Amino acid sequence: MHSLEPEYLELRGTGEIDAAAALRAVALERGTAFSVFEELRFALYASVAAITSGVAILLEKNLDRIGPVTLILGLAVVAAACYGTAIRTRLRGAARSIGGDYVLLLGALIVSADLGYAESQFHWLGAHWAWYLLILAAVHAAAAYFLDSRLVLSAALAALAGWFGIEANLNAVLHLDGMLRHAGVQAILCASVILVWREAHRHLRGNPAFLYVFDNFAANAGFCGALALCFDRETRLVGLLVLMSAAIASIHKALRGNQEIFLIYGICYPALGLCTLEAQVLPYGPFATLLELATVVAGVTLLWVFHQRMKAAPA
Amino acid sequence: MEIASQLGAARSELWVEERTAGWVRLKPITRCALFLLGTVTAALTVGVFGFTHFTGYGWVAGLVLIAAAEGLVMQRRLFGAGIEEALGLAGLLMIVFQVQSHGLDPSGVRMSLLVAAALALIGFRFLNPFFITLSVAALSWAVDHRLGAVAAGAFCFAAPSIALWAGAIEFRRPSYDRMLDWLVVTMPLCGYLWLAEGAASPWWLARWLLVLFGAAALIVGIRRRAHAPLAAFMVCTACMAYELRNLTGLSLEARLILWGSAALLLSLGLGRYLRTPRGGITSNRVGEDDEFFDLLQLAGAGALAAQSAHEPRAAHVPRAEFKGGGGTGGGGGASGAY
Repeated sequence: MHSLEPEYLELRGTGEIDAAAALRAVALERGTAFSVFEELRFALYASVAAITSGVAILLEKNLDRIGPVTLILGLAVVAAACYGTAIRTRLRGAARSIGGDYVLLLGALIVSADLGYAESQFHWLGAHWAWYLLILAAVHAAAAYFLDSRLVLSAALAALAGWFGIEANLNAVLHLDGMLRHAGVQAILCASVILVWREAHRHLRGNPAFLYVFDNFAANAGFCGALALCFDRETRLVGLLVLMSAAIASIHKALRGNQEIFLIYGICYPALGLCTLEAQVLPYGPFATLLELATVVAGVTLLWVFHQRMKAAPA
Repeated sequence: MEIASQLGAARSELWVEERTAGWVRLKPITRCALFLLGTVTAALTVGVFGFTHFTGYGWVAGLVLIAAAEGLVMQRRLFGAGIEEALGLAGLLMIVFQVQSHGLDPSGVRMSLLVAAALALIGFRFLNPFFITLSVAALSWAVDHRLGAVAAGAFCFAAPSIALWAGAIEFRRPSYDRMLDWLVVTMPLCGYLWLAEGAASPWWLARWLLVLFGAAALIVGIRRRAHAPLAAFMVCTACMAYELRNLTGLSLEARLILWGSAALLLSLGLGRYLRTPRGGITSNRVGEDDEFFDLLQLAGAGALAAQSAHEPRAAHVPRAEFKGGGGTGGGGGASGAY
């Protein structure tokens, strides 16, 4: 094991870091302050993933044995208990712990499974059954705002993406069954809706931490949509335009807000899109490969240059 | 560099500039992106050389890639930036495959040893813990070829045990710590896989090794206040849970729900207990937010939510008939065609 304590003390001595930062860093180096936050977070995530997978299998296999009404009510009670703990914490005016966050997420995931299952059994929405995903997105969004949870907001955005059919359409992309254009348009629409929602959220001065969630979902949905358009012969030019516009916006956001992830999106997705286009347009051979190589090297160079600029900017 | 990274200090700050002497290290997320781009670059470079069709182009491609990686380190002063690691690794592996094409059995002991040596070389050159771990895993492959899966499993548990012990030695370089950390966390899993795969291994061996190493890792982790041994303990627990999957005779869904709930309750209890620091150990976040883990958490939550929303319905509606609510008309409302 190593210790950077002497270096921290030296920096403190020369006044290059302040006393509070030095104290905290030295405590971490000595182990007098040691956080198991990340270990707990991982354990909580794994637990929630195991429970929701179990619930999914339960719903699939045990319909005849238990009966739909009992299953739906049972899951609703469990979900209510999960939400109840979060509501109680909120009413007490206390901050929710990481454990509380994951219990709330578990509740939201059980609601998702329960609602989907209930709709599949009772066909409340008839031919328009897919709207249950939009209802689910609204329910999760309301819970996310009321209980101030980024994780539940992620669930809401995932349900919204599901309503736009992104998951199903991406499956179609993988099977190459001619759904590329549709998948691309849907994903871009989804990204646009998320951006509109984000702007409304910002305008209404909602929790600033939510913006990061909106931005990441919108960026990934938008870039994936543009990439899907690039794969299709008839829409590849439009796809390229969308891809480049999104890249410029993403890089601009990264530089302005010092957020490296948007720089990575803004470089990696267009590099992939351009390589795809080059492979489609040019005949297979050394020239196409060389051009693809040049594209990736240009991407790396740009990423490096912008990264240096971000690092050099004052914090 | 380590201090600047921990304090989140910008490289324009004078003391950082003076002490790092121009050496550059990136955040994990950027390093991963550059590693990925570097891998693509290496593959395309080999492709370009491949089109020249001259004999032994792989040697030249390998040497060019290694030269590029060294150039980035020496000229641009990159350290742990991802790109130079990807290029260096690809270059050296290219040379290894050229050697293999001269009569080495690709699944033989010599090939495994050669790959392990190449990975170790590049791992120590770039002080990359991932490559060192891969090198030890390749070595276990050679042990399996020569002595069988039980010996390979035992080797994989011996390696992290030594790393756990060596973790007590004080190094001046944080990167050596990371190499040991990676071995401690990943090799028990590798060892378990060898033992689970080996038909000749006695049923109790994997369980005992998991229990002994897991317990040792937990004790060491708490005593040294180190994350890697705690992560190793969690890996051993997960392997043990899988190993004992048939013990209760319960159905898969019951096991997932029961054990998941038990783990959740245990985590919640631990989190609550450690909310007030005990012996300096706390469940509160100390230090800056880790963007990488935060992003993983949000993506993970989104993935779970997508799965939970779709699966119950998909289980009762054939997958091919699914159409999103966006419909086929370009969005906004269900098409009704499913």
